[in-house]
Amino acid sequence: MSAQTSRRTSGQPPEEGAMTGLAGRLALAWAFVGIPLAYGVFETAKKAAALFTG
Amino acid sequence: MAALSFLDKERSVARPGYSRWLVPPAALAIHLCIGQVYAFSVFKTPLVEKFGTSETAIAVVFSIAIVMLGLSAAFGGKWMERNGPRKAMFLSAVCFSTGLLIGGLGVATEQLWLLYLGYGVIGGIGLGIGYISPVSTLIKWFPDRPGLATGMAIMGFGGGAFIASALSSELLQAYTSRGADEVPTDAVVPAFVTLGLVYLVFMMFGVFTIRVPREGWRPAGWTPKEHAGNTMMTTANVSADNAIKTPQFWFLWTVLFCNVTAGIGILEQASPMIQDFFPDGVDAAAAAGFVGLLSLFNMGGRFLWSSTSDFIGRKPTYMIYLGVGAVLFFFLATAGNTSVVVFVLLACVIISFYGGGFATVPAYLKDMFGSFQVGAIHGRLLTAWSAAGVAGPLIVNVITESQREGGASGASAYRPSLLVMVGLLVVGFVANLLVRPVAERFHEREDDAYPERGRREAATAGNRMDREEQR
Repeated sequence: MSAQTSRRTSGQPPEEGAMTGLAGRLALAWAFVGIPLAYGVFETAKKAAALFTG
Repeated sequence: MAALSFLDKERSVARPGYSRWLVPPAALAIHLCIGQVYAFSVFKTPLVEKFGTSETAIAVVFSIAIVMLGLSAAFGGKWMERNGPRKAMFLSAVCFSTGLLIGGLGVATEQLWLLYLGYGVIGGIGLGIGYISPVSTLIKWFPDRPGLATGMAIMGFGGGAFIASALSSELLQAYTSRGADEVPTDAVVPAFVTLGLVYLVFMMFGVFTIRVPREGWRPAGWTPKEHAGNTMMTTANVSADNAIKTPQFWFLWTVLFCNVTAGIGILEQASPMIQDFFPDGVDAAAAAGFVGLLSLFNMGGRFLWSSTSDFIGRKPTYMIYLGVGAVLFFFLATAGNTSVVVFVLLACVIISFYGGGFATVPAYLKDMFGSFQVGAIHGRLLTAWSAAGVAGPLIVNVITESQREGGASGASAYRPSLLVMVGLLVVGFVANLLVRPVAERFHEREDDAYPERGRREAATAGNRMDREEQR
């Protein structure tokens, strides 16, 4: 992806394939850290609910 | 060591097409792992039983890790700035993971000193280097939103405790062959080994994803606010060695120390405190829920307040943490026992300020000292955290105990210690007010801060002179 991008000349918009690749890489990277974090937050929120449910 | 040359700073410069939005996940991959240290208490009871020792002897493991965090962040910061975030993250991953594995070996062989050495000393070095490793890189990638960027990473440290707490409990249950009502001492070693290996893989994702921006890179359409008249945001650079000679560093040290001391004072005592305030209304399960809720506000505050500081400025943000925080502490001390809702609301906002204080300080340092060695300066400032980690619980425990010995009970036993926290926050508020721009004599010369840029500009100037001479 970066090789593709680096070949384009400065000032030209990035190629569609490169943009799709970057979007996919971003989505994967955020999912990689976001899913465990969401799991941790969910488990903690379940524990915190005990304060309100008695 | 040629095989490890991919870790070199020069090899991690971003190529065209790299998105800066890949840097926060890389940073989170480190912070979500090292935040495990805050969930160490999950192993406390099994370890006490396994070693047949006191709770204090096991608590020492956590204390060593936190002390090593502060020391390695303070002394490893300049090494990290020289070698870049990728090598620092790699070192952090190796130390943290090895620490868990050696700790596991210590548990398996029932050698407590190995647990101290592994999880405490070696793992603690991984914590300190890992904590500061992405900060300076994030600030360089997000000069337009440094608070947002560091808020995301440092939020991960809080989030890491959630993940580790839930995951460790699951692992202990999965590996034990004992009954549900027995302590799972047989599951500690496999749990340590599993965590060590899983964290190594997870942190390596950060190592391979992180990139530093090429020199002179700026976000599209963004220019530094050189002429915006914001004197609290410098465009100069101050080295880590010079930073500690400035009053600004020590004012910020005081600010962080006061904010963290007050927050830790509540966090450390959260469960017994709410039960003592409301002996008839809150049982142990609800108190555990309160601790969980505080953790959520601690994490959320890191992102929310640090991001907000990009818009309202760092100094006003700390005026809120410390000024409003002092008022809220006062109400907690005097009116906290009027209702559970009031108590919980006050404590949650206070803890969000505590978390925000951690996450906003790298951006404040960048405003004061520039981005040249901000990671190293941040590392040195974290000694305030270590000091507050001792002072906060000590203030609450000593004063509350003496009140109880004097016959006080319930909320009244906590009142004097909470009022001491009000005083501390006022001290922090004044220290923040005293923060002024750093004197020019501490600024680095451009070629000292960025020698490559200096050489390139000198070469460009030389070529220009050559051409002019040829004409």
